[in-house]
Amino acid sequence: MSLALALLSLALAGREAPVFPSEVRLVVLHPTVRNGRGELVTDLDRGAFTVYENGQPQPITVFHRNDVPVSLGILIDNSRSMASVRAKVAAAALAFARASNPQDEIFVLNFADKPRLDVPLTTDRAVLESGIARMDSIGGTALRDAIDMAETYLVAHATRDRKVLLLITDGNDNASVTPMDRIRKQAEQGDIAIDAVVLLNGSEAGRAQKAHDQLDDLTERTGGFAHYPPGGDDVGTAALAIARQIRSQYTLGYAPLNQRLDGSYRKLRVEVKAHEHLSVRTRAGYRATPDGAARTKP
Amino acid sequence: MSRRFSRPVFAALALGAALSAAAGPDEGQVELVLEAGTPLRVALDQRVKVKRVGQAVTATVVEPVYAFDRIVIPTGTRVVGHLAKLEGPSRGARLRALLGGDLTPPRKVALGFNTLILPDGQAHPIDGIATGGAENVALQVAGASEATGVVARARREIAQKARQAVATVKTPGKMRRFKHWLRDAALGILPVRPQYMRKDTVYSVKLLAPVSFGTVAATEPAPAGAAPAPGSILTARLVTPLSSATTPRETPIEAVVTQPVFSADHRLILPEGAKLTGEVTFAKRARRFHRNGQLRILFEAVQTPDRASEPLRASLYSVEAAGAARVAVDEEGGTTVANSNKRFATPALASLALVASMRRRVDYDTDGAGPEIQFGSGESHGAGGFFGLGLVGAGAAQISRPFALGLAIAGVARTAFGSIAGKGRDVSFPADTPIQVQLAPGPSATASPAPSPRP
Repeated sequence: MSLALALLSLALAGREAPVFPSEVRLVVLHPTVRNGRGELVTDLDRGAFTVYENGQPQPITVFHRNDVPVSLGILIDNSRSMASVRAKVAAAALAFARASNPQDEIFVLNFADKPRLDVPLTTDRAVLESGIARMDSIGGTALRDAIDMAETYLVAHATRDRKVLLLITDGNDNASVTPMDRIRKQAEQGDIAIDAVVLLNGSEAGRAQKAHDQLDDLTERTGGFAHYPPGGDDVGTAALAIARQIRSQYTLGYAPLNQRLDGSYRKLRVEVKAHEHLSVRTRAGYRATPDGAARTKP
Repeated sequence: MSRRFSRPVFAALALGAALSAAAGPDEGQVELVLEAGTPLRVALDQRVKVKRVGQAVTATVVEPVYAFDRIVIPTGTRVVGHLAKLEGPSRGARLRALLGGDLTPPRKVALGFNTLILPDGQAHPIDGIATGGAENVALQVAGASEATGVVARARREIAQKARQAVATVKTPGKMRRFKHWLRDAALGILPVRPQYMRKDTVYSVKLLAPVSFGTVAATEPAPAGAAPAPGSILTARLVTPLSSATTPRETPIEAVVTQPVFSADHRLILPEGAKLTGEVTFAKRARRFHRNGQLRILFEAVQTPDRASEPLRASLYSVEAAGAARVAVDEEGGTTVANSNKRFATPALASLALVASMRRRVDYDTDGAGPEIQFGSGESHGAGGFFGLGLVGAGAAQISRPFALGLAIAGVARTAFGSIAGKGRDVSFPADTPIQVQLAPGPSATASPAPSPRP
């Protein structure tokens, strides 16, 4: 799919497609660009972007700023501590689903002590809504276990190139057995962006800070954002902001100058040139392995 | 606990709601029976000095006991018994006690109870036995967040009431309890000491034979499918013993409802004895550096004798545990052991005693032998020895300075290991531990208007 997009993009641009060696990897990024006021910037041209891999600029061969459909998972914290805000969380998840691209395929995974896939990937919004309404708020918070299950499910079943997870949680993981490293690695290998709406109110200060730091790190590494709405009333606004952000991302692709699949970690950085200061968020890197997050042209 | 149905009642219950809805309370009788194995929670009426098998003890029931649909043993019922068995400590326990300067480690005590005296004076013969009492027992209730919400306030009130209920037999005031503590602490440092069972120590008396409380008209059952209100709290006792060390994730668990649950129109939804089943959802063993164990459980079904298993999701709300166990229940029903900051005090004091023992000073003329250099003093050596080997160590430390120093070093090592580097404690709940579970609030109402997406 990415390769097709790349070729289409090149054709549209009226350029001659570069001659790839027999096996050329294509690395695809989905950066989000914001201005100093935090507003999304969606009208940049290809020339404004420079992609660096391990500090070395790379020739961009794919460029899009269209609303590309995604495979998306909504992970809803269904633990006891979310009981007081569950109606607002359910409303926010519904609003998020309605504000997404109609072509997005979405699944719903509710989690408490254990994750539970309530709605498999579907484009039917009515089915989605029934799954979201299944919350019952009981037990602990196995957040990492839920992300692990969602990543595995996405990698196995997603039909779209872009893969995104949205977490709605209080962040206080107290029942998982999955280590954070495994989640990071799976997100990296599956090219999954993780966004989060986190309600940290009520948690013990030390644990809340730890949860805050871990979610910041996870979302930033994967190119997503963590939103911390001040109260339950703002969950919906935060979820809608993420829906807009997902639909406003650019698609950049490049064939790395270093084509070796040596298993090394390649750091990624995207810069934009503009008349004002803009910030770019994209995934932090990828591992150059045959099963890594880089596509291969046969 | 259980009950025996007379035939018509059993048939009516088995037929379910349709028939039972039509059945009036006069149509069926139920025999109220506490089966063998039923535990009674009692607290000792007085401090007992352990002397010999056969010495008398009395206790008071601290939690009401239900059979089927009503109380048969109310709180305040007296139980009369005796010291049934005395068993010496194991070799390991004896050695550990010896290393701590205790030459008379406590023996294991079993109490036998043979008479139940109800508040109305009616006496029932019983055959019950109890071992392993727990002091300062309280309900550890799921902690509400520090937010000042209505729910948080309500939880605090419930917790307070629950504590008061358990503490009905805690008659002494703070000062009297402090005096008792001081007396016990003073006794505790003696190398040879008498063994006491403290007043208010709570025991679980297990009935060895059934006790009948007669036959009564059964409460009308609720219609089929009737369930306790969402978010309500059920009182139960664990059937499966739990430990963060030995019951891993996905271990099936079972508990028994100990207080019947009624609908708003006073029909019986769950009788005493209804079985709750679920599993351990998270277990983490205790680890070094006082990282304590963690345990979470979730109940997922309930079964009564007359109905098939029905789904019912409930998490732990409170658990009864001794104060010394320092069990903490978090807001989401998870349990762990809370470390006390006071645990740093003993190694700190032992270190101070060691430093004082090593302190160099010049003694000019106290003994008439002219100026000489001395290390520490008799008091500091005694203190160091005390941390090393208790009162025996305090005395032995006066023999020589190197010996005193050795004892002080041993004291620092022992207390530091025990209080800082040592293994934490696992969360453990023996069978018959009283618990409360809270039901799920029910499916979410998604009536809140969703914010409309920006075009």
